[in-house]
Amino acid sequence: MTDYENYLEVRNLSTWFGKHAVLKNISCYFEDNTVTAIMGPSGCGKSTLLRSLNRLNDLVPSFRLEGQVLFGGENIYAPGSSVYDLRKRIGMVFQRPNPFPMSIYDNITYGPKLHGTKDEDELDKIVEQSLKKAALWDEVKEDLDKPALNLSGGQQQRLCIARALSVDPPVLLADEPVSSLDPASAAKIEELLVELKKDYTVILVTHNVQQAFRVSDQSAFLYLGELVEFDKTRRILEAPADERTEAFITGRIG
Amino acid sequence: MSGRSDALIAYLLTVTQSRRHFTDFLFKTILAIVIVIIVSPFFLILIQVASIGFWQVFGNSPGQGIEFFTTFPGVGLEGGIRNAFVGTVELIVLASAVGIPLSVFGAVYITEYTEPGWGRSIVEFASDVMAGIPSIVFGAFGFAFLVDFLHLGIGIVAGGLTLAFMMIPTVLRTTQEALRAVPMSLREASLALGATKWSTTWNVTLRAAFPGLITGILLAIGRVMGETAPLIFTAGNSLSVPTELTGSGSWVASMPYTIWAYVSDPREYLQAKAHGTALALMIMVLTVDVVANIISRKVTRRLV
Repeated sequence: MTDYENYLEVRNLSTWFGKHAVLKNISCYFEDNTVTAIMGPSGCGKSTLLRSLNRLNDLVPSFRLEGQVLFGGENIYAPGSSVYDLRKRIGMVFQRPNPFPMSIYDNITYGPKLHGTKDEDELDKIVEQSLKKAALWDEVKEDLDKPALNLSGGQQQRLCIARALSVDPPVLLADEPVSSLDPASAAKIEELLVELKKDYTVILVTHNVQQAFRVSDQSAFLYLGELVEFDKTRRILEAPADERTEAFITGRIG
Repeated sequence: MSGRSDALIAYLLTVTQSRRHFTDFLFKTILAIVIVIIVSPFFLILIQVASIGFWQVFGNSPGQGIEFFTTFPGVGLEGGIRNAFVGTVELIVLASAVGIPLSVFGAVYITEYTEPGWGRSIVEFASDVMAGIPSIVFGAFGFAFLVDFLHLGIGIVAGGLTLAFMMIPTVLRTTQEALRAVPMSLREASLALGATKWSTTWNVTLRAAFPGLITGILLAIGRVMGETAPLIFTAGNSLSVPTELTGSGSWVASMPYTIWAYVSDPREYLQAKAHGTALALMIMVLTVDVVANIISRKVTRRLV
């Protein structure tokens, strides 16, 4: 399995915010070109697990971690490992659309410019490709100079996906990306995530069982910081091995 | 019997009803009077200043209108106030050039780079107290510290720096507020693309906070533009514009100082010039405030 180039693996990961233990000894892996859903009720640590993968938890001063996260075989928390290179290769989409207060064009070129792309033609090409991948190009190609915040919520979220794809990361993290959107926009983004699987590894946090079923290949079910189940989504949903999973799927906890 | 009691009840009802109407009316009237009292000083000042100084600023006769601002006072102070107008502009430019970067970077540092704690509290407390310090105390401090202790001497540098000190609390606190209003997820979006903290702060956070920043800066400029007290001991006065950075050639006039000097002068014709200067200064401050308002509203709507 380890011959996957961008194979991402979590080994015995435990995390704390201050004295509060959030994740307890979690091990799982994310294969190339799959969609993994991280499910669980609110406060179970799904977002913390996701944010451990691109070291975004490091922003919280009281955050502490034990165990390893291996990306391409190397521990991303090893001393000397560059967090900037890591985040360039692991993109992220957030719960609420959060475009920068700039034009649509500048939103997409922000990342590539950070990492040294200066050539205008190159940037134009990146903008077009990223927006096409995010299924937004046709809607905004005439308005690239307009402020991104003029777009609708669903469009903004697709712009955020395009922005994450602009630096061509092999892995894309998505933290409940549709929870603040209307059903039509949500459906569009779900479709998009499945589409993106061809080129990217997608890791999706969701509290929505149906969504996990529609979108994901494998699922991790977290409950109070523990990894209760980790397997093919179909297997988990059709025959949950643990009663907590069953309770969540049937809506008794959540 | 019942007929009489019905009439009584009806009578009592109308009395209480009208009493309610009356209290309602009374409160409305009191509030209206309060409002008149609140706004009347502004209009009284405007009328007072304009009735004496209007033609000085807007007239067409020699020495009035634009000439009022383009000629030096000259012999017997019979000319215009070019010295004061240019002086005020130069003082504000110097104060802004020093005070704004200091306050903005200070606010960025304590808001973005430090944890909430005693260090941040001390800075915030100090700047809040500083905002409440009377301007004459800034003048005295400017004299004791800049003019005397640092041997800068009286002149444009000491005056400008004293005004810069006065700008710090306003700009620092409004910048801090503006930075705090920027959603955390915007910073995270930038960091998640592999940006450094500095790059995130400069390109995203400050940019999103820009309207608030500009508003604070303009309000601070509007405030120090009209200050006399800090300049009395630090900037000196001059019938010309400063030609040097040190020594007596650096002494500089300002509009507030000129108003004070002219108003307290017994020569009758200086009253019109004092009030003309006051009117011009009020218009300038008002313009700055209006621009601040427009920017904060327009840009905020466009961005958020």
